[in-house]
Amino acid sequence: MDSGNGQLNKRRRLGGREQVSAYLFVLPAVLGVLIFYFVPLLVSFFGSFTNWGGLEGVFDASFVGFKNYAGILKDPYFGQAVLNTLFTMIGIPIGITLSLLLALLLNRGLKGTNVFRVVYYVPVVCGIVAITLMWQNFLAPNGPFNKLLEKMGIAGMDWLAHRVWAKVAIVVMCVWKGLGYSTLLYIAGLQGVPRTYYEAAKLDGAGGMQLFFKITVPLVRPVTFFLFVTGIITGAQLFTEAQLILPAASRNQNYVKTVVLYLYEQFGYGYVGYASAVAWLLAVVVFAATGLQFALEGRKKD
Amino acid sequence: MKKKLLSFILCAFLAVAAFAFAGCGNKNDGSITLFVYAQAHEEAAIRQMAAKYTEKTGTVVNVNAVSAESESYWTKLKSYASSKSMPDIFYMGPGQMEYYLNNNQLMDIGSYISANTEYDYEDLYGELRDEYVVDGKTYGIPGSFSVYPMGYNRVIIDQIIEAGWWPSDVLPPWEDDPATGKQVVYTWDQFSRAAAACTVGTDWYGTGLLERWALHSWIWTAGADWLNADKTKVTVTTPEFRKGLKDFYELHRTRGAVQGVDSESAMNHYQRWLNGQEAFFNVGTWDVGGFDKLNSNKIEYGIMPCPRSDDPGSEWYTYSAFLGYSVAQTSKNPEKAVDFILYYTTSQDAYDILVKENKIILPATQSKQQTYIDDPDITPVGKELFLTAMSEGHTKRLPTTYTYNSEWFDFFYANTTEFWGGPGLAPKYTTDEYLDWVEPQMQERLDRALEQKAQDEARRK
Repeated sequence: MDSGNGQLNKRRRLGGREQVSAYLFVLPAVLGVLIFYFVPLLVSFFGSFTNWGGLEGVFDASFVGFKNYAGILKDPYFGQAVLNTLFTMIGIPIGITLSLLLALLLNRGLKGTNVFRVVYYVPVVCGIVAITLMWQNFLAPNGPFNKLLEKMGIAGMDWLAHRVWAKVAIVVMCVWKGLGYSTLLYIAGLQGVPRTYYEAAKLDGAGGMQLFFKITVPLVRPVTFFLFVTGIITGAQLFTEAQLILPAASRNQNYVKTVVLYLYEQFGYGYVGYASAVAWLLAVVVFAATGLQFALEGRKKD
Repeated sequence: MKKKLLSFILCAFLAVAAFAFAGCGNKNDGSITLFVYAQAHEEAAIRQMAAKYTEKTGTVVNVNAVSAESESYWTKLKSYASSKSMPDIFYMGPGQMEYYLNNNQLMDIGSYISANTEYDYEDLYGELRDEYVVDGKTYGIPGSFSVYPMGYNRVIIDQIIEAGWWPSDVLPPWEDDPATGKQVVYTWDQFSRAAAACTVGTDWYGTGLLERWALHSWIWTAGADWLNADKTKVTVTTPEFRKGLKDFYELHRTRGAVQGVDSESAMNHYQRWLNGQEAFFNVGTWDVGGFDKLNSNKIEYGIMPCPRSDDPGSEWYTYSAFLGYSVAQTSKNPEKAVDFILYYTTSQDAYDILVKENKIILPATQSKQQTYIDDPDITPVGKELFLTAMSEGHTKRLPTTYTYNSEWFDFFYANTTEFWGGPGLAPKYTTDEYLDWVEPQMQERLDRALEQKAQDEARRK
């Protein structure tokens, strides 16, 4: 009995020591997260209630209460930036739908499928700056797109100088760039759907549409959910595309300014406290949107 | 036991490495860091200077250049300042100095300048030096000044004259006006007719100016300005300002001086100028080095004054900008930093490499002005205008030089499609309506900057 207890204690001691080693191993990473994520997070949160200019210490700045938050909510250009950002998110359901359809096509095992998979994935690995500048040239008044329209007898226009079409251009570009990635995830998802489900449904007389909506769509829902959540998060942080889509001479026009671009400008002007408040508002909205999606997804599962 | 020991060593190593890397920005190995923004050809010249200095003194100068627009430079500098990792030396404009000074980022380098016997600080223009002196303390050394007059492409104009399309009552831009004995200054009307004459087919464009930079000439020659005398009120709704903007708009939209809105954005005007397809385009002093490499069969450019308003007795104007070098309050090698800046701004090497060989700046030293004008190897034709524009009072400062930040000014340009319109896009406002709409919003942003400045100054005091 004693020897049994001794063994147990020894094991406990060994387990305890292993735990210490394990904690030591993760310590650098934990420290990194604490120092480089949580401290700036707290500093920016505190800064958002001050008139912090960024160069002085945040604690040297004057406390202004909710003035920054009130100022942001009152600024019509922040409102415009929010609307611009929301507008560009139209691309999320469009991209998801297109990539699912594309994945279905590429999953049929047709000839040349691998070539197409590579082709669709190329934009994903291209630099966003290069892609944005390429689209800017493509959509220029004398660019290839207008020339193509001209051949079809349709009059083109300066798409990027138009308040709405410029945003549509960003949506199209983002969908195009992200299509390969989403398609790849859907292909993986589709390959995980057991063939037997389809065969059984067919025996019961199910048609193509029924197979798609009753089997395919529900079974790839985790992928759809993942794409939707990450789409919202990255969409809320849209920056480079909006900053570079317009030609240099007309850059920074308000009609394409997104929330992060607005934030970046405020930082540049030396209103770091104000910019921190914008960042926190954005974070809260993104957290809320993500939480809502998880809640809805959980309810669906139930 | 062995495993435990290995684990401990690994953890200790990781922790030490983490702290070592975290502190690597603060090492002091005697080298100095220079942070600037520069186009590719400018960066090459700056690196050449840095290498030459290292060769002479043994001090390593690490050049960190931002190749994007100047806005990115200022944002990055702000990040360095807020993360307490300022480079030893960095570009500092008089307009930005107040902000960095109020936030204790700039070192008073007066004593290091006085102690330096190698280079002649006094040779730098007095009015440029004064830009960096506040309350008797020196916070920077002027490095260069830039001017933004008009340029013309003689290849196009010669062919237009030969074809008989050039307006008979307008002298070619390289000729002197018999009435003044100086290079001809076009009125708005003459300029737009000359530019319209050079707009031929889809090959040649009369002009097409970058509104953010070129509009100033139109505003100032009309007798207007962006701000009132004490720089606290936005003044863009005065009749003079309205007139300046309206003429600039009409030049680009209604007078045939620009190829047409349809083709305007197909290729930007800067690119067209580089391709030798544009007759008139502004040439900044910083452009010369790059423009010299252009194809001389298509472009042979010279410098001319910007056009003046049609009012009798009006004067032409363009903007001038100063850029100097400051030393960070936190620099561990201020003596070396100051020595390098003085070498970079006043030495013979500076003239040979930056002014003569690479043509990226004008000489900021008084002793080199005449050498520059007389030097036949330095292009372009009419280069003396770069210097006389300033000495004869044809230059003004950019309005943001006088304000704490540029938000109010950027706002003006962030909405200009409202009156420009575009193909298939009707303008929302006329230029007059736009000015009425934009002024209160610009004022709101200027007030915000003034408030921030007052707060920073109060804290500093």
